Amino acid sequence: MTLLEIRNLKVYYYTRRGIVKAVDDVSISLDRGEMVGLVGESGSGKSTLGLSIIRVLPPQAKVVSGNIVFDGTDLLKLSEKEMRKIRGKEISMVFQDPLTSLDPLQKIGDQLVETVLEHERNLSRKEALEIAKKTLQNVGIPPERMNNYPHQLSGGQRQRVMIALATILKPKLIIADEPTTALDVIVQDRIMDLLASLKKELGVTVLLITHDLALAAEKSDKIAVMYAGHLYEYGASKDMISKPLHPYTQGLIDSIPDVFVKKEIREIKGHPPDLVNPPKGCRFHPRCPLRMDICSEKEPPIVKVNRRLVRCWLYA
Amino acid sequence: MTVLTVLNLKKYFPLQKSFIEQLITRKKLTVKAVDNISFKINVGEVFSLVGESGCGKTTTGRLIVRLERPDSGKIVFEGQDITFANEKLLRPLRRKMQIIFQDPYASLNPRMTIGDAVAEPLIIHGIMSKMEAREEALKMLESVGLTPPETFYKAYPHQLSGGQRQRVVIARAMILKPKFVVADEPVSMIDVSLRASILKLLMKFKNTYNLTMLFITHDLAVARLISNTIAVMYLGKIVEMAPVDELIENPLHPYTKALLSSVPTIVPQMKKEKIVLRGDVPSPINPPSGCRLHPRCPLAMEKCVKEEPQLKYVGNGHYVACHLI
Repeated sequence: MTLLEIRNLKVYYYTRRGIVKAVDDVSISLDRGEMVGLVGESGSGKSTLGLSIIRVLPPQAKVVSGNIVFDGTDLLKLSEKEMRKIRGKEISMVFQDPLTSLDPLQKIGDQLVETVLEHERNLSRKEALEIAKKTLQNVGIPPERMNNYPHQLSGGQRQRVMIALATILKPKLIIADEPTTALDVIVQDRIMDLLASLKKELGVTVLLITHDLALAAEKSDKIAVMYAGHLYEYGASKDMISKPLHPYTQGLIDSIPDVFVKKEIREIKGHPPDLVNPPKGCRFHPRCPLRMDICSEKEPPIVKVNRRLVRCWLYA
Repeated sequence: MTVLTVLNLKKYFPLQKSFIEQLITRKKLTVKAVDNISFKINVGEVFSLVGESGCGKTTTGRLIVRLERPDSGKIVFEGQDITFANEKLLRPLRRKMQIIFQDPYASLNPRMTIGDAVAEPLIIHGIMSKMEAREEALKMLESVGLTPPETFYKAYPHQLSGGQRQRVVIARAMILKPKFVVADEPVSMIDVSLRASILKLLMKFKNTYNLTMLFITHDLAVARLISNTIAVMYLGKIVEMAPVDELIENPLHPYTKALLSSVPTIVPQMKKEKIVLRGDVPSPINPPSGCRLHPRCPLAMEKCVKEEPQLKYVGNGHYVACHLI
């Protein structure tokens, strides 16, 4: 069952250099209770897509067109006041750097309690405190840590607190933007296990935004690959890794070393394009080893190939 | 032939104590960044130090090129003991040993053109005249893939992308044709699709000049690709060291196993047993007694608390420091 459906979303940044087409005509839907890994390089538009869902885009960015339908309502049509009720309660977000997302002057317990009371006005402080304790326990932080300030915790613990904050109101969707990029692998693995178990227990849908294809491949049910503001491929993780359809997905897989696979790596030639002036036609065509004449002329349409979505002239 | 020998190397960083702490205790507080490590690197070998942040891998690299002064132990480079060598002695050696840092934004002078930055080492070491150095720098820019070199020569760092800057940093390190390079996380700040090209560039120099390399990384996948030998560090100690395939396919230390079971992979079915360590990495100011992993190790025995395990040779070029083995 679909929880989130994004249709033809366009988000542009209006800068002095010109209009940056960060997200350009992206359509994607997320089912309930699944984890989707949104993979792309810096500048691919993956974070902008995440921010536009909970509508916290920076001021120079604007949603130009499209719909973001969450649980039956178009989020883009809501007033700021209505949106505030959804943020945190229905959709929450976990960012890369927990130290800048937590209030350094407030004890973590108080931050959790405040979040509960903001959305659940009829609860007493005592009840909120109980919920906070339980949520912290769920993420593996002992309740006595409630009286600690963020700087007294380790990086992994802080990210756990962030996840506690993101799950305390039992949202339906968590957007996790590079939640483990700043962490060491062992801690990363634990945080990902935690997200997976919350997904299972609470039935929450997770959009995992990451640059790490291997992480997405291992931990998420589906993978969406973004490049230069376009969604290029979307499908089940396992199929996608064993049989990628888009040449960019193939290129990504070939370019990353893997600890358990002895292989040569092959780079993707060239550089990601400047989104003020993206290449005509398919945005990947200047770097694509399989390009045809049509690729530099017309934008490829999105087609469905064996339950996979792919935006490439090879399949159109 | 051995290029570099490191023997019982130690570096403790003193910690600043607060006024009150100074009154209460005389005890000196130190961070045991590198604590008694030994290894050898042979000609043409890529030796990787892997481990989590704070394990001492970067400090080891800085000690070896003598950007830091060791507390004790021995560093022998090409037969010459450089452990406590002074600047005058080190200067000619700096031509032979170079270091590439993680952050290409911080390692280039923003007010110097790319070309001048690449040519500078040749002039500083008095190898060439300015004119000759310019020619050499142009050639080097071309060979790191910054083409056309004339255009890049005149560019400033801010005009380049992260990947291009790291190429400049590599060019600058390679222009002296060093014999030994310390590469400290050279790709961790580079975009995924460009990482491969930087790694391949390093491999190219390694093969053309028979370069010896100390490669420092937290990324086991990168270490697998580039190294001949991997040493795993934990809290200032080497816990396991082996030829690359042996280490990945037959890890013996519980810490190495834990690392390997946490690395994301596109073939999760290849993962063997999952070893889960308790808690977080303890502070290197007061490392645990005995084996430093014991408070977190699921297989810890009484002996591990009391006695520190030494690196033992177990065959196949494989060394491990664990009481279980």
